[in-house]
Amino acid sequence: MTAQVSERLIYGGKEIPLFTNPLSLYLKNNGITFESPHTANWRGYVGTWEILEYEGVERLYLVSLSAHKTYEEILSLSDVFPGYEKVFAHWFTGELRCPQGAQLEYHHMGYASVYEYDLLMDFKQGVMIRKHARHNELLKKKDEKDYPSFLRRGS
Amino acid sequence: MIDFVLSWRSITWLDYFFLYISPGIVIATYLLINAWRERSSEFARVLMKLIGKEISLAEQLKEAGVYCLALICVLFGWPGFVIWFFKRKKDEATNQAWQALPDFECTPEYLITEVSPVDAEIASYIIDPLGSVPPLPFGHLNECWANFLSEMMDDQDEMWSFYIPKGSKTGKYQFKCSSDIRGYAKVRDGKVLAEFITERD
Repeated sequence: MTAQVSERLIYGGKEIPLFTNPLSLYLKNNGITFESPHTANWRGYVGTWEILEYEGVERLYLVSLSAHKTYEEILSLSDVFPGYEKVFAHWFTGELRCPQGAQLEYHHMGYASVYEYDLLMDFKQGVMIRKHARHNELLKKKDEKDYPSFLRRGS
Repeated sequence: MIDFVLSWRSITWLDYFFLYISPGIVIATYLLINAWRERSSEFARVLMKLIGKEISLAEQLKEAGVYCLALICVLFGWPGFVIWFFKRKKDEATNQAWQALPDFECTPEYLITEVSPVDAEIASYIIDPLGSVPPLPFGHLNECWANFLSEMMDDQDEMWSFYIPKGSKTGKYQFKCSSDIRGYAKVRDGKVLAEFITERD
């Protein structure tokens, strides 16, 4: 599986990649599917999300959507949510993962690539309850000598 | 002909032997015909020859040897093949029945309590100071909630709330869930027949 194009998150005035798909429950519940335009976007859409703060509470909103109804026809947020300029993701409970810093290791699958840091934000019914950063390190790759002799090449 | 078959009685051990291997001969013949029908086409053989991967005489002899060994196994071990064949058919039928089962996240161990649809709706209204949620039960999930309610037709149907903690194994495939999952389930005789998930990642 090819590495997938990320969602986008506007947080603190900056747009950063988002390695979580908060829209998936809404789409599954309503039986909505989109056409995949290429192998790097199997879900068929890219959403732009924003965390907006009101009276000290930060909430997750979907503010823009580019979804492929067909390969050529692209739907926007107002097509999927008629009458709304932004949508509060009240169904989302879980963790948002935003990769930060340099890419340490590329994985040709989903959101599996490893970056220097992950900004992790926990949400309960669309409301942020906790955030923290995680420092990632690559595990040391094993050398030939780290394997038992009978597993080494040419032994 | 039938009288001849019915009146036949075995005399020597050779008769018993042929009687035993006759089903094996039928099975072996069937397998050989199948193998012959699935042989490489002339086009494939020419293609293999062109790319230098023609089957050598040694390989042909080896294959013939394997066939001979397999035929001997079938001739003498045909009861084992018959048992294996029926076991495989039974396993396939069981697997197809399992595949046809609906895949719900909620299983009976995660049910919390029976609730009425009215109580569920009262607890479901979403507070959003920016007004980006419709003032309906379960907000943007209202249509799905309506569909879920429309399935609760039978008098025996019960509506239960459920909660699946993060990391629990859920669903038909017993995957670990990556977040807490909450929702409502349609339950009859202790079995989950439908579910409406209100929150997850």
